[in-house]
Amino acid sequence: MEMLGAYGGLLFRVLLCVSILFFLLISLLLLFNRNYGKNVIARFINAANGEAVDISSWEVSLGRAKTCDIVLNNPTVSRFHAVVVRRGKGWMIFDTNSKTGITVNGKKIDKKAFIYDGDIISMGTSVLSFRSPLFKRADKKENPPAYRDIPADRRVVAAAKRSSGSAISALVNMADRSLVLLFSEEYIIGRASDCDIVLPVMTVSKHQSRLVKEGSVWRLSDMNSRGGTQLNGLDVIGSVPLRGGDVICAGGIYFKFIENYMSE
Amino acid sequence: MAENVKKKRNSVYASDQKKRTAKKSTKKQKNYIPPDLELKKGKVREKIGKWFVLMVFLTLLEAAMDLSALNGIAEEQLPTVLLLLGGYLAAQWVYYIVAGLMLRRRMELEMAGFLLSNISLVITASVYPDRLTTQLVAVIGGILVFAFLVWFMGNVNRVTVSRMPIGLAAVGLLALTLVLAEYNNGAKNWLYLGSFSIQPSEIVKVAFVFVGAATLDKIQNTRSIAKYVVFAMVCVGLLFLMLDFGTALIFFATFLIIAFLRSGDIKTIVLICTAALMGGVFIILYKPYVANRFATYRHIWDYIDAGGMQQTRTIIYSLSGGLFGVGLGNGKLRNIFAATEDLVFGVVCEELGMITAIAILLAYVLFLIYAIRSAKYARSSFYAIAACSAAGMLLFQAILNVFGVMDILPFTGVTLPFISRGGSSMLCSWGLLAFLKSVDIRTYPKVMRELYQQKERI
Repeated sequence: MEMLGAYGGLLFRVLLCVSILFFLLISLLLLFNRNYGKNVIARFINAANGEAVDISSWEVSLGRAKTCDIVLNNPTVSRFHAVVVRRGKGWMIFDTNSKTGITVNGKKIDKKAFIYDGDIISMGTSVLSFRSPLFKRADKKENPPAYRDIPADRRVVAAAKRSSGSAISALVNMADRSLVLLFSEEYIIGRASDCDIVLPVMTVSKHQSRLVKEGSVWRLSDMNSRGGTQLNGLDVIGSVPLRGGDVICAGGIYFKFIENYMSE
Repeated sequence: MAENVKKKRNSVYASDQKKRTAKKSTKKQKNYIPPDLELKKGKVREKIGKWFVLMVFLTLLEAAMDLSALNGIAEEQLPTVLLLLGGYLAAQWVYYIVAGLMLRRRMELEMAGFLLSNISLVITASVYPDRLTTQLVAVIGGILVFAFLVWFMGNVNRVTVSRMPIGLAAVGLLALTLVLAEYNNGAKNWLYLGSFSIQPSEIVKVAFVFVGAATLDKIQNTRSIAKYVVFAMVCVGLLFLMLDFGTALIFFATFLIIAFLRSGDIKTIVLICTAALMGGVFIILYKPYVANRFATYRHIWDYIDAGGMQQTRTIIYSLSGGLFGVGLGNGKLRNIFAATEDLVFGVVCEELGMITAIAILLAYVLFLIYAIRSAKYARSSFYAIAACSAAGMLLFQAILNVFGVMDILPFTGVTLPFISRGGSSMLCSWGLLAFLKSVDIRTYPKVMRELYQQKERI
């Protein structure tokens, strides 16, 4: 230091200070140099309206709450219903204490399950088809390639129609156009968790109304609910046959009845 | 006939469309490899040019600092000091060759950490040349901890599985310290293991962030947050019993950040703060010796040569340094007790200049801005929360240290991350830096590769 002299020493210190500042700034500002854009790594397709939701992060929350990444505006979906994450060997879905549970390809899951390309996930009455081309199911039986080109929800219907040999009716929630396909013979609508169509809304009674298939006709009856069940604006007394296009109101939630889903 | 024509036209149109989309996709493929990456043998890799240039610049800068640190060191200690500082330069190059050249990783955070650690090393070399070996071992240990943690956090499953055992180990370590430690400078926070001593609260800081951050499925589960609240309360409570208020305050601030990030609710934070304030008032009312620790706060000039000596000297001498400092070895603050630990900010101001001091503080601020900015690109909410809370912890600790010695906040005797002398503190600083490194998916080439593969097909 002594050999630099007074001015040399000052110059050295100035250079040292400025280059420490310069180096720290350069190395840390390089961190912000991120020109990667958004990468779509998976996709959800809403079966009710065919709308596609792109997923560009490794963790996505689904639910009715506005803070969720994918908001499902449907009273049968819990506020924080599920989380879909990309882990190790593929994608996983976690049930986060939801009221109505999650089914993957028609099977109810317990807390968590792996999901693959083309899987159909239903939460309450909303049905989503999952797409992520890198992760395919190992056994082809569950994911028949012949149905690859038809939309996900129709594929289920087609499979069911083949097995039952008759038309499949459906209920469409008129608030968000979500869909309930009527596969079995009897459906109970209500707030209680043992109902087939669970509507966790306080205006709906625990057991609100009942849909029964007699021959090829669906009949609607009220189950002594508080608010009653209305068909096309009139209270239902006894059991009433349903026709395509009928509007059912169960405790303030409106459904449109579709007699033959495949033909519409 | 008309039908036929229509069909033909359709088919022509379709094939044309196909060609067009094909062209588009190839164009996209070329475009979406960012300019600082290259695709070789199906692998996305970092280009190495700019890191080499920066590394050479860093080495020259550090060599200049090392030479200026030799001013005033006794003749017989010169060879060992030169050897140790040269060894640090060599260690950096070894890290660069392994991580930057062989594994093709980005180096910006490490380089900032290298430079900050070097400032700590030259100050140690200049003030306590005989303690340089310990400090060098601490810095190299810190870099190893950093590398290990970055590797460890590469796998999300490994992280989720290990959170519980790490939390239990952290609480156990703090409890052990409370039982075994003896009072040292008014706090009971040192554990002596034979010839060397550690400060467990510094190591628990890393665990505190690690346990606090959680994946999204855990966040949506209410039971998980209850567990974390219990863990945080136990940690802060144990630190209070050790009378280590500075560290307890850092833990509490980090807890607030984590609680906010996990709940997204500012009302909860207000409630927590109110509860903590009431608790603090009760402690001061019923345990007067706690208040006595802060008797000189805002009155340092009344006790110039007693309780306020460290702070008054720091303020006076750091001003005498000016913008560019008086040069290493020419300062006066170095003769005060704890000059290289609690008062190190004053030493930097005096000997290396205000510009260096501001550059160091700017680094902490940039860490936090970077953590917040990169949170939305993170692989999991674990990384986002961990990075934001780790950067928040570093910045809060720096604020507590700098404003503490300036008498703006109570003087709690916490260290300045990366700059203060002390092994545990250095290990903790590098450990927290690992959270910032792992939030970036560019750290993990496997993840990047998958991202690009997926984009090609969807």
